[in-house]
Amino acid sequence: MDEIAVIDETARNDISDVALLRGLGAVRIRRLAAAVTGTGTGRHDRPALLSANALILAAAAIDADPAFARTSLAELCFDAGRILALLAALERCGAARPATARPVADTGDLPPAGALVYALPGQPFALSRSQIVDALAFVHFLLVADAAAQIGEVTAVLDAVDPADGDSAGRTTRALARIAYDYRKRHFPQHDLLRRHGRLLDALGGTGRKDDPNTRSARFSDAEILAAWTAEIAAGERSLFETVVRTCVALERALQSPRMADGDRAEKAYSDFADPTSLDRPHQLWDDYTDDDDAPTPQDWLRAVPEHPNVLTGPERDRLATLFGLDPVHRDRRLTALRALAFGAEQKRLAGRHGRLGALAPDEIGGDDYAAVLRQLDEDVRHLGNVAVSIVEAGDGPHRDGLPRAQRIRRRGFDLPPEAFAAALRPAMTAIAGLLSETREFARAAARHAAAYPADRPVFTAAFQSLYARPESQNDRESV
Amino acid sequence: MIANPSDGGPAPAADVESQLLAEAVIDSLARNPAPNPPPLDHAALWRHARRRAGDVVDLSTARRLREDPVARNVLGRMIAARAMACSPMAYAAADATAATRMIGVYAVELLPAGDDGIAALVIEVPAGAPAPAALRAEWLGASVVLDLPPPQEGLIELFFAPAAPGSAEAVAVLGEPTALIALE
Repeated sequence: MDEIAVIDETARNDISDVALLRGLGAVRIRRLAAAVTGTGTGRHDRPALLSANALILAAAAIDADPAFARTSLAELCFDAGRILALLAALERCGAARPATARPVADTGDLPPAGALVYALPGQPFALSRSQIVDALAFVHFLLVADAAAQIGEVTAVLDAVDPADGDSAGRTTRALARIAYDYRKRHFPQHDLLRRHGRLLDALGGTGRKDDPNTRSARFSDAEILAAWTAEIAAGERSLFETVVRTCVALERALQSPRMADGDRAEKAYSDFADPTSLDRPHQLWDDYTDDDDAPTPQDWLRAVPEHPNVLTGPERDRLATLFGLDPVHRDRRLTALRALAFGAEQKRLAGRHGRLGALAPDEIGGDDYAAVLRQLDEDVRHLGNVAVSIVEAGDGPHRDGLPRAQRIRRRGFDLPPEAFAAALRPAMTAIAGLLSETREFARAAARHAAAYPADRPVFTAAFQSLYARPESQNDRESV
Repeated sequence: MIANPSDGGPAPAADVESQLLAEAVIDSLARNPAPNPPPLDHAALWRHARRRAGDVVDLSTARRLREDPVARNVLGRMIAARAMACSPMAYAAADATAATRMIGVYAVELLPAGDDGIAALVIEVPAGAPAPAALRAEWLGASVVLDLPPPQEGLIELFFAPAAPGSAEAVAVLGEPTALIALE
């Protein structure tokens, strides 16, 4: 079977070694595989969350019980035979209670009535026995995967587990999730894409669009795109808003593609997007469904504008690239384009800073007012118009009927002699004129959405806060 | 094509990977419940890596280490994860008189037995570096753990009298250029 080729031999052997050593049954093997690939139900860092809480319990038992004197956490994780002793030790030191509260993960095997769940006083979650067994198997796997290639990192995380420290669970969760993510990146490079697209397709397909012939050709609305993005964020993803917009547009192009004009095009499009082999090249997929005609797009125009003379500054170019990069959204869903300009750009900035500096203070998170974005675009329109007039003047002399006089532009290359200036920019004239009219049209038509800002702002800031503004950034950085 | 969009929405594409992985593992375990060689016993290997001076070596672990390069590799990483410095190979190949290597910032030299039959191990501890308290050496299942005395004037010196139990083996392992040596 072709699909088996997707499976990584090393990962399979590592899982089956752990399964044999720990005597795991088929159900547990499935859960371990889901934890390793990060495809279990719920948040993808849940195996790390479970493991962090189980490790805190184990560390508390080691501290409290003489039977575990001189035992390290790593040793305990390797030795499945001591789990019963560990549970007994937890019961002795009062960390067990009958199951009443819901355990951390509803993995489908809620403990039977009267069974014990385990939690330290003050720990936010109680774990069932079964979850502790799963969690320690997962840590065992991380320790020994790839001939123990990551054992140094994992033991460093285990050393830092401190049951007395309330923040330890959060820190351990993030550190383990990072190690697991590195492993997945090495072994299942397509997997991250698969996971995101799968959920996105669920979010978009869930509206009944696929089966309803009337909506098949319709576009994803502004609200649907925003809802798909917030669903991603709520599911623990870190997707950029722009990426989600892009996927939505590619999917709807796919649905409308003339190549699939007969009958089952929606099915074909959905399965193209769900097919793992087509997803390892998202850009190609995007191109497959977007390059249907040869007419120049605003992006082509933007590329045709030369850098010398310096017609567009970096920020101007970035702004227009964001706007037109999501073609055709700037024509038919201007609110989404405004959101991408105001908050998408802000998200990129935050993600970059978060990557460099760790979590950010809540008040560093914002986003431009739509009115301010539109003012900047008006400014760009005015500037492009001025450039266009300058080119005409440089070529044909200053006195043309009906044209305003060009204002002096102080940028690199604009002080060339008129002939050289005209020669340099004349080939880009069509592109500049095209950009000018597209941008003017967008700014004019998008103005009526400026009032949506007060309603959008809390949605985006809440999402950004949850992504980038975590507390205790200090400790987090140390544990990296 | 894995996806069948006509039943219950787009296929949960993300789950395909773990499903297949789990099925492949379950399948291979069902077909071959006792693989040969058996899986590495990580717990035993870890106990070996954390052995203290004077603890006996588990015979089956030693045999596995002798025969299985993967096991040696895993053991090396386990030791390295806990060591302050670790080196899998002599810095320069052993010459007629001495085997020298740099382990982290520490220069480790084995002076072979002279006329008196006493071999010596000398570890140079640079000023400011923490003094290691133990040394582990592993070579093809032969294994040595030594408690180190505190350094005197930047040098840790250890002497191996031929009559002392275990000293011949220690000298043999330490003198092996491809032995893994770690300081803790």
